[in-house]
Amino acid sequence: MDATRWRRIKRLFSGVLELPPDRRAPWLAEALPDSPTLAEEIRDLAAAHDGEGEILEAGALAAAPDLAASPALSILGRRIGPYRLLSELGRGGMGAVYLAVRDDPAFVQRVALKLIQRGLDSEEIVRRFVHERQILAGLSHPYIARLLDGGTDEDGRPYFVMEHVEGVRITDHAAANRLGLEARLRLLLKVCAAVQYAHQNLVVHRDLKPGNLLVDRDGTPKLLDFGIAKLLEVSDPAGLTLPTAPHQQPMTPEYASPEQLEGRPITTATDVYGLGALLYELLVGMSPRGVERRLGPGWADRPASQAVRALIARGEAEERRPPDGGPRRLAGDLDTILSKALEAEPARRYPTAAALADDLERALDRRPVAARRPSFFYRASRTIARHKLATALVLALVVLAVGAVFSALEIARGRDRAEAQRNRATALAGFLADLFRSIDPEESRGRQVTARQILDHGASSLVVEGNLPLPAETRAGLLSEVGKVYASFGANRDAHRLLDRARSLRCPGEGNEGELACAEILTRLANVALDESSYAESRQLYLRALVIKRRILGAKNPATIDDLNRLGRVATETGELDRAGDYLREAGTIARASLKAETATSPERRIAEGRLAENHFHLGNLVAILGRTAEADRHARDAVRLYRSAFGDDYPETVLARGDLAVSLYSQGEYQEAEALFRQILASHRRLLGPDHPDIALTLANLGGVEEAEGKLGPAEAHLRESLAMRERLGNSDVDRAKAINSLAAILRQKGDLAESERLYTRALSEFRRLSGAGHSDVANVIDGLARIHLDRGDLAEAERMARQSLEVFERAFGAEHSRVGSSWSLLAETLEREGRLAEAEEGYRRALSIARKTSPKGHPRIARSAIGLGDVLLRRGRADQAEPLLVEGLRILRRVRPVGDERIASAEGLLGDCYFRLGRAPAARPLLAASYRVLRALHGPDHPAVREAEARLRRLAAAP
Amino acid sequence: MMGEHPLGEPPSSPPADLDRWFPLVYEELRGLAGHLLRDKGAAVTIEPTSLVHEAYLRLLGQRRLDWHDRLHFLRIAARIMRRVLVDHCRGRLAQKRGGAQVVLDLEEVAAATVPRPIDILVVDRSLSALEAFDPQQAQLVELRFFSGLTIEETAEALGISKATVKREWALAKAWLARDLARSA
Repeated sequence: MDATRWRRIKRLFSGVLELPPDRRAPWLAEALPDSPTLAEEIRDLAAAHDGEGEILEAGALAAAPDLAASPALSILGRRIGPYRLLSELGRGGMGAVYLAVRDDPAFVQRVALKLIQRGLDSEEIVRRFVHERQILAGLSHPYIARLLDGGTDEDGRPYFVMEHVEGVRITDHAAANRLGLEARLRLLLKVCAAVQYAHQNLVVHRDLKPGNLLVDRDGTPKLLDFGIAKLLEVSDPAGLTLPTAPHQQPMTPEYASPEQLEGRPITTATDVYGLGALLYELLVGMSPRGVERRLGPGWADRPASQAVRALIARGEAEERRPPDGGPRRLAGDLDTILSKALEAEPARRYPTAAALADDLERALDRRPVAARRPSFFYRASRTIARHKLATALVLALVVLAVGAVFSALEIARGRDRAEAQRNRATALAGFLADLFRSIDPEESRGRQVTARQILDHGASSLVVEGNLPLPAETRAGLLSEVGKVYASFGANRDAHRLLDRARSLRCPGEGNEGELACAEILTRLANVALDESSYAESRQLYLRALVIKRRILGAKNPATIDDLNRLGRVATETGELDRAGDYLREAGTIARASLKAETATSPERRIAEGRLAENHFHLGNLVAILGRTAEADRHARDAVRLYRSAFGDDYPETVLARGDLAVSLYSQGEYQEAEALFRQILASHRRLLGPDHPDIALTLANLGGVEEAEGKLGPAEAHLRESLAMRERLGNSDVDRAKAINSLAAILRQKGDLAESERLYTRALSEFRRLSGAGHSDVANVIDGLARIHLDRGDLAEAERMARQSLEVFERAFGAEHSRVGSSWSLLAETLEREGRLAEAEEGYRRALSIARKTSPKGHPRIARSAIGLGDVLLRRGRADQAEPLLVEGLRILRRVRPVGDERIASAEGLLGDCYFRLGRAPAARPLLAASYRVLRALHGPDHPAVREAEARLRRLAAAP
Repeated sequence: MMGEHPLGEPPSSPPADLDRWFPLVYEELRGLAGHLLRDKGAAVTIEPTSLVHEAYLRLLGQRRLDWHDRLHFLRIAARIMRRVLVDHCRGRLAQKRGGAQVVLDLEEVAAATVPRPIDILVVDRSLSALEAFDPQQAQLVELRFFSGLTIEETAEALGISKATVKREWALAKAWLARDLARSA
């Protein structure tokens, strides 16, 4: 533009503006007869003024609404909580990290403060932070930067305060100091130890990368941001993501594992991958994805040594300086270790960070690594596991036998008694020698002898009278011991047979010693009965044992804790929740006192911890039934912590308690995490318990349950069928089996197989009635399911009758404000809606929603169900304005927990689209209605009523002006 | 209390040199803008004028600014506001390129009727072009758009009549709007 032309424009412009648009052209043609282009430019400008010009009136600040998140608007020197910011340390996708000091002259501490940027779902992050803070703050390891504090700033933005680490990225450290291969491996070993430690505390890092792994001046590595990634998960501003990104996760794509990129569940194996990627970068000088970018696709899958060679050949290795002599020393073991750590399939990676570390140490010591020959390792580990069990069993029997001999000698008065005891000792020695013979290679002719075979051998010689010359009480003691072992295998029928035999030999028992021995057998028999859901029998046995123990040992004796704990469990299972609370509180009081009495190193301490852990385990179950999910979660975590401290990670009870934690996550609607944890537990179970075990069947059923909730019906059905088949093989017919049948029925109903579903529901119903009684909430669960079948079939009267029946049972069992009562209201409301009784349906949904909001955390799928139901009814009653926020809320939740292409999501999208249409917001309605139609049609074909409805909505939209 | 003066002795007369005053005023404005936005939240429209006026008063109060030619200050402040905002937007652009991909969502679709935000960088570019052939009108845009001065204040700051400001502003808006529409 030259200044003259501009001046001419300026002279005419205000005049043109005053004219209505249609008179501008003639006016300009007259004013500028010889400059049509200038006339056109002025007309253009006038149109622009009328169009976009007005938005400029608001000014620049208003035009940049996200200014508050601006990094340019310095917040340095600002105070956040008790912290004053000093300088910016770094900035990432989630926010910025500042160097800060506590604004407290008495306490000068430099910390790193991570401020999460506006726009993420702050409330959710804060909720998770409160939930996780104790665990994260409790992570105390020399190679982990501690989480010190956290909170929200005055805007409600969350922040985390961490130990400030002055150091450089591990990769920069290695390059700058020209660390050799061995030094790099040793550095990573330390990192593995830190990660393993965190995993033992149930914290997965999820974002391992050089930027989170600094090395300080002393060469000590420090892992930053442990657990932070999880707090920030699924936190895009609106919570609504497009179906293509169902699992928004904060991670760094450069270092993310395949399962993170694909939105599959995250487990500790994710961190094993992260460690593998770190190791790769330390050894190659570039991340696997960096290598692919430099050398081409597929290179990350080739051995690392080849990548180094190729980089050297292209003269690009110097840049990041891999260790000297790289390719030669990388080839072989390290290549193998890397490829195992970086397996795309999580299950094929090293099972733990410790296992990776083991192999690295083996490589350092030039011992053969495990990753090298997987089939051999697999075989070897199986053999060792078998021998371990066999060895442990034999040792237990030896201890028992020796104990019997000692107490015999003590009690012995006079020669005759001594003689009798000597005979007893000889008889025991004979029994043991017999047992040992069965694992003697010559006797077993080189076959692998399993623990179970040794046990069967011992058991059969014990049961048959006269086979072994044993005194009755010794035989009873051994029977009881072997019976206990059978019970721990889940072989309840065999356990019951042996223990019953022991009881007949030992009860009622003479003198204190004899009575206590009898009481112990009664407790063990009761355990088996409890496992079989024979509640009346187990209660009676526990009570008898408890009475004996209390009379002889006193009311506060730790030996009574087991019986009280399990009486609490029995009462929980039979729905006597008040009584259950009484038993469990009493058990807890004694357990805590007994734990306090033990010193830190006392061997009895483990037993005391185990008993308190069990108490938390049962209490967790009880309060979960009462709908107190947060409390349940706490108990589950305490149980895991105590079991782990008492027995370590690889202990069946520890694993089982982690199962409760997973159940607690499930009931809070954290499906993804629950699924991941169940899968971990399943792997541990299989390693510890062999192929078939009731605990494995339980975990399989739970896994199926979570998958059902996530809408993954195929895998859910497979897992439940596997669980049921296992129970069939074990011969268990307990409440857990009935629950699995119930779950399978629910899945089949959703898959449309109504006849088979009804058959299974009916079977579950009779099992529950037999085991739990007609008024039990389990029975109401099944009736709920049957009501749904009638609803699906269109038999509305019957559906309504059953829905009301289950509502009544739930209310009687739990009171009016329980989450299950809310679900029943939802079902009843749905029935009423289908019957066209909209006013009553609205009322039902309102009650369901109000209960769901009171009993479930924000964003729980239960809330979605009643919110969408209520939205639907309101829409039908012509109140689209009220329906909209409910439908948005419900859809947002469904999109978080259900998969792409899910029917419920599609239905909800249809409703929301229709709602927008009625509100006159056609542009917002169109994509929703189209998506809904597309998904429903793909699921049901063109002639399904829901599909025709979706099509009709689209037509209405197209016909609208 | 007297603070350390970052530029040595405070000058007693209005500085002719924008660059000399730039860091001081820039920091002050940045701090204030951040502060105000934090206090009120991003949803509230903030009057840029209040920022500029408050910066002026604060600098006077701290005796870091010993210069009473308010109009001159306004002109400099407007230029600086422009720089603050442009820096901010450049920062965002850089972040967008390096950061995670923005995820579109339903709400965005539903909110399609809300006017889209102005691209400050486009305004800055077309303002630079305007500056080449009409520096006075460009300065007027800075005062009106970036500093948020009223027609009266702008007239006062530039020493021209209100009618002229209105006329010039209308054309400047058209010039900027045309570029904005082209870049959209």
